Amino acid sequence: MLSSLLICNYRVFNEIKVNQLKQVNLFVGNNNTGKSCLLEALQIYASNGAPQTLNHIISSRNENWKIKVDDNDFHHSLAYLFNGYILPEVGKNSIVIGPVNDYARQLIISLKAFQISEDEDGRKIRIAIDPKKINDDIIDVQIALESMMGKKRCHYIPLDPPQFGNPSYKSANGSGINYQIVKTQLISDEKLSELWDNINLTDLETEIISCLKIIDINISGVALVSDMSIRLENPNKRIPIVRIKGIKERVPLKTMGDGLTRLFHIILALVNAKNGLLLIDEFENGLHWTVLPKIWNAIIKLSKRLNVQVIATTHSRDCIKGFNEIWQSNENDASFYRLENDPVNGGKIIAYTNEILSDAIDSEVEVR
Amino acid sequence: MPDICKYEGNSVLLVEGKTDCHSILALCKFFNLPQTFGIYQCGNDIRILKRLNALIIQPDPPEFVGVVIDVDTGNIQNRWLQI
Repeated sequence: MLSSLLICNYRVFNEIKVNQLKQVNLFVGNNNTGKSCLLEALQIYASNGAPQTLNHIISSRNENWKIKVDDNDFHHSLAYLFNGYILPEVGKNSIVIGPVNDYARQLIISLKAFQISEDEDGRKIRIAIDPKKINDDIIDVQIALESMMGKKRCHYIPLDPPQFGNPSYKSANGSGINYQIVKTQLISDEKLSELWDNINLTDLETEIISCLKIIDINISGVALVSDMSIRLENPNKRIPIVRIKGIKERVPLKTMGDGLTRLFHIILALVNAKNGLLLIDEFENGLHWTVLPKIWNAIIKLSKRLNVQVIATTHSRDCIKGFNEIWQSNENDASFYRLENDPVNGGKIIAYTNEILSDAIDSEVEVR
Repeated sequence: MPDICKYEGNSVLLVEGKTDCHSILALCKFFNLPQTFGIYQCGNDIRILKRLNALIIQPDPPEFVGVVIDVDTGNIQNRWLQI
């Protein structure tokens, strides 16, 4: 579990620090203050800077666009991940993500220069070279994006020449932390099937049904089944259906509304993040305010039992109220922060105590 | 029409009840004080302290916050500590 969080040189953040993270953590903030960037940074951290994760993040924001056909789009795209949206000079302004002052557990992503040489057995090896010594007389210089955890290299992406498709060196240290992310939109059908198959017929399936009962007490079972109506176009697609007490027919989950679908996705992701990290963007999407305290309660209990650290964002006052209601009786298990723009550091974290958040809610003073 | 005792601007004086709000408005009028601040009636002393707590940490907090609060019960030292 992350006890704190430092993010440097990532997108809008020059440097932000969250001094204390708990089991369940809720972040609020205006648009463009970096809430989604924070979740992205945690995704990168959990994957140890894996190229697939970087690529996924870049493409999800359309940052793999090309200005010109002959443009080096890989260099161009990676630049968006760095503060100021430009690739830093070799050896400078590395992205740092991890616990504050815990250098062994911080992920460092930096641009480095290597010279390709040969060892005594004639095998090609990379030797890191001092960026100050790069000049035209040194041949075989390779610039690469390297991610390191502690002193161990996790991933190595050569940039010159670019090789994103078949990129990286991946060390044994490259696997990272188990994590799941629930974004503002629904999880894809393929991913949903994968998550379901991981827990099908286990005790975790019972946990999911019990959480769905928060919204509809009559739900007695869930399953994922093939959708024969589109078997030609997408033979692998499966959809969630539910069994409801008193109704003979099985019903597609989506028939039951957006709230139940969103809850299913959140809880399914949570149980799949066992011993890891669950990231939720705009938690409240589709959920009615009356069920939010019960859902937060279930999330706190389940995340403690399964050892999942939850980092969520919201824009919703009802979501904050629901969270606060549960925080009062679980003070040591949760934390609440507001993200703000900051002209120097790019972002600023305002920490709330349970008392201050309660006062703000009781006084109807803005916290978002 | 906006409630004159529910001002939420940049310079605000927090008071307990409606009577406090109107007394201060009357005093300002009597002494021809310029309207450089507004008044927010919180309801009681506990709510003043809660609002003060919340206002100073809110996004874009007010530049000036004043408080008019009774010390007719308990001791004055505790009240200062609460503030």
